[in-house]
Amino acid sequence: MYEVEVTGDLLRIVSSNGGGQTAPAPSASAVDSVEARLVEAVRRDGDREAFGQLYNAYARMVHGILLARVPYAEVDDLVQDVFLHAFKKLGALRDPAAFGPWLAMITRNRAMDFHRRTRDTMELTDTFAAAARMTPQAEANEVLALIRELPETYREPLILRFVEGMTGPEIAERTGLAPASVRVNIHRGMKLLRERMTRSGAAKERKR
Amino acid sequence: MNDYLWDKTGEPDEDVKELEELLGSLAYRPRPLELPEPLPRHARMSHSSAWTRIAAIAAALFLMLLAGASLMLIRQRTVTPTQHAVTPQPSPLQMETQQHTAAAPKANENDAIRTPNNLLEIKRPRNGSRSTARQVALSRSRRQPSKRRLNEKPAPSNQETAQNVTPLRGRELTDEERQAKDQLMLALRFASANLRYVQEQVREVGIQEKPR
Repeated sequence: MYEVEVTGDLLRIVSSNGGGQTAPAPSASAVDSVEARLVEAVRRDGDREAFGQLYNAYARMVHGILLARVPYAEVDDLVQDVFLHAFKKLGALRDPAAFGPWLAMITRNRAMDFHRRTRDTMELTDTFAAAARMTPQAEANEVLALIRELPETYREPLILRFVEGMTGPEIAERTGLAPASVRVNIHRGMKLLRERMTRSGAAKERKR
Repeated sequence: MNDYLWDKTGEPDEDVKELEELLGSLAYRPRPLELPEPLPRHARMSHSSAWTRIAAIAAALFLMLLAGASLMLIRQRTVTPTQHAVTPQPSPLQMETQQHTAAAPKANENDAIRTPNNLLEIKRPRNGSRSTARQVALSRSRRQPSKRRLNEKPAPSNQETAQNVTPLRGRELTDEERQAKDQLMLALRFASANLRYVQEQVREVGIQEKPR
């Protein structure tokens, strides 16, 4: 019964994330309790299935946070790396209900580690340029580059919103940030992005 | 209020819709998670590691208490014999009381009340009722104020007392003291090692849970 309940809840969460507007998102406390139970199961019994469910629920968040900081080509490998690290260090998590914010922090730290490691070998601009060449959608990469030029506060919520398709409340709930802050950051970030896109479009027109 | 940007409710703005479609192509593509075959030990050891930490802190505190107690014991052992060797000098109050006693008619030795430190000697009145220290003080205050005699020896100062106490450094330690000292040093070493371990554990947890 317990397993079915947990799986059912999580499936609902995942489908609401994936489907977007159709299914109503579960309340924050319900998600917290499900997460807490899954985290406890992993810590107590090393339950791989439970960790797999956590991975399914949080992979998009981790992907988005990484995409705001590291080149697109590196993101997939780093997502795996983050979850592996989280699996190893789950015993250090004090509050099982705070899994999301904890994972977001690990992700940000991993992105910083990535830059520290690669600083000596290559220039950041080269990395992003190479990544831009590697991705199929050149236009998407241009917009992504514009978002990356925004202040850090706006970068993460905008990428989670536009790239990963998460809603504002969902971003707040998963990352542990205050909904009001996320809302403000999305709106201000969008305003800045519009300005930059207009400027960039005008520059292109001038070049032609 | 149309707030599609926030929670995807209502009518979307055209540019927002375009951005969603354009950037959606970079979204996460599900990929199976590859976990290592043998489970990491500390992924399952949360409770026991927490207990280990608590036990380490308790052990460190216990050892610190033990070390403190040993230190106090050693100090007491080294200082007490020399203190006993020092003859207490009579204080002005004692001298005055002794004079008062000598001036009064001689009474039975058993009538005298002796304080534990032999500092104050109070004579019982003849009618047999006990004289308290307060009564003695009152009787003294009724008398003429006595002038301090020139040949009266003043009470020893703190410096003189300190000179009379043999310092610990200058003399050889007895076997018992040396043994106690060794035990104390060992306990302190244990305590510091435990504290270092706890400090490292706390720092590790702090690094993992706080943003860099």
